[in-house]
Amino acid sequence: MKWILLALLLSYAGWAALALSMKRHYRQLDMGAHWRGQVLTLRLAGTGTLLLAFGVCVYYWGWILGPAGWVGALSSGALTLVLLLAYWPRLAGALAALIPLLGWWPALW
Amino acid sequence: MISGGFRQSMSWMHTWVGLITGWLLFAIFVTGTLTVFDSEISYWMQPELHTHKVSHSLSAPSALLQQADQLLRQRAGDASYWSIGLPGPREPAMRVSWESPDGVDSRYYLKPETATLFKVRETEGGGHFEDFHAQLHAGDTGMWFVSLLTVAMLAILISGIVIHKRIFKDFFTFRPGKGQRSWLDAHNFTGILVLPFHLMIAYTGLVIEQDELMPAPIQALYQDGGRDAYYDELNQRSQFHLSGEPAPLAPLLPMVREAERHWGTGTVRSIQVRNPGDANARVELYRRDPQRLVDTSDRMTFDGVSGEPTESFSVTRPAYVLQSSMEGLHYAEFGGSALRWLYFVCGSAGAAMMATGLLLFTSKRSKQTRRATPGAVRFYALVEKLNVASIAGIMVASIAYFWGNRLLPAELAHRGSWEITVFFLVWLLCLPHALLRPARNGWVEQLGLAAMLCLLLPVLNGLTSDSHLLHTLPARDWLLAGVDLTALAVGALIAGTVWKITAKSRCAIATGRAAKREVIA
Repeated sequence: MKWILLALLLSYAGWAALALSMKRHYRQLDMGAHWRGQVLTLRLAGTGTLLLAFGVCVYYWGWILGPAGWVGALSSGALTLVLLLAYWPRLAGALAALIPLLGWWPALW
Repeated sequence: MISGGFRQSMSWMHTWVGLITGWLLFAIFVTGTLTVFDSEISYWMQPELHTHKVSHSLSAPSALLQQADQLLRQRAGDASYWSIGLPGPREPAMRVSWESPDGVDSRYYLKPETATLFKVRETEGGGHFEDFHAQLHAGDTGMWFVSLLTVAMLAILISGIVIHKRIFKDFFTFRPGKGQRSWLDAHNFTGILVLPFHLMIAYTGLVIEQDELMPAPIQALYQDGGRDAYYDELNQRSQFHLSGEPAPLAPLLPMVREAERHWGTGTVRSIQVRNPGDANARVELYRRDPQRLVDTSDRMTFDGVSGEPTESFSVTRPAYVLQSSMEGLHYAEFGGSALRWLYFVCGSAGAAMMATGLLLFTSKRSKQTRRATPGAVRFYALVEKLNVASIAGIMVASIAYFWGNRLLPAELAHRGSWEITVFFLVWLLCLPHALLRPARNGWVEQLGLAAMLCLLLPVLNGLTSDSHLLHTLPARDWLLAGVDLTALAVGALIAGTVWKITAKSRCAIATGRAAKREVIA
């Protein structure tokens, strides 16, 4: 169960980084002024995190079931992000910021 | 009607095919999402099982198995067929059933403390949702109907991608509380973010019925035996005949041990004994393997008299592996409960996509009523009422089915059919109610009823059984508590929706009262 939780957290964080690479959501979360290379950095970080989630799913479920679990985790993470962004944008941002700091704790159980 | 370029024609198709298929597709999606937890629902619906819980851990079943073996020899020595369902993570009970020579089925469960058999109430359980989802309780005709709807769903999904102009720009966009805009946003994100699941579930839903949808090859090759002969050959099931000579059946436990030596401990899912007591008796053991996508179980066959293994079968041929993996992907029997929850979330999103699409149809047109003909206005009003009966109605009917399971007398004859009757009757009653009431009242009343039935289900569970949340939560019995907690969560969600719908009118009433008070003062 902890691995699926980790995959969900990574999927959420990856999508959040990709969302922040878009002007609309960057402004929505009041992230301040733009900086150089911001879009590229966020996109790379986001894609990388989603790929990390793929690694976790394959580690937990194996090569055959892993990809199916990954797609499910991607969808669920993205749904969570969109709903949080719409109703509680501050929480959405805080959660996205906390995951890189604390998100690895399920792996330690 | 169809005018202009490719996108317009796709848009026209998306709108109208979506509308006429959406009502039933929504019901199929809701019941399909519930089917993800069919075993859990069946278990919840048989309270008699909850008190004689059987662990599926390693050492426990051996004693149970010996008990079952003995009881079957005593009570069903002359039966033509025995079946034992071993406890598993999704059904902690030991099922013992047999078929007498004249074809009467008996189905019992094992009470380990006293080594006796007991009966549980007859229920359709989670199987009802599965049957409705796959064939609308209408056999092959229903299966064909559902399959046609599934083809339509694939077409609607593809046309939806074509007409969506801002897939990436609006990827994370949802602006609630803005009427038609919000419905479109919600329709888009529940569609796009879960698109791989939607395409997969619709496609596999068709492919797994290939033997019935495209029967010609099987009919051409197996004229006499038909589909049964085809599957016997596919699953390498050798022909079996009765010898007529009596011979004692070998004990079952060593066979299970032998199978576990190959498959791992605790992996035998069920045991089927054909013609016990005959010299040609045969014992088949089936494997439970959640680590595999392939949905066809491995099987080991034993000679019933000598107890020696005679053959073992596993799906290895590439084409069969592929076909069986499609079934695995659709049924979500693999990957454990975590994966089933992902399916539940994705399925709910699919249902939300269909519901918001239907709502979008009327919401778009309610603004144009001034320009529309009287006939069109009447049609839009009818659509909105049908939306109520299909979207809110199926929710009321689905939760009413859970109530029916607990409120129908446990000893009722044909109880399973009565449960299904409750489901259809409640849904049917939602139709005249939706047609007679103004659309807004229809929404509020039916969704309110669904929310109330969901929120009160744990209470009903407490009144009709001992396996309520006050017992199951401290015992960490998530299998049972899961049903109650999910009902509570869904009920809260529906109640929240009703609260939102009525917010404006409550506000108006409040200001109206305040104004009155001022006038009086």
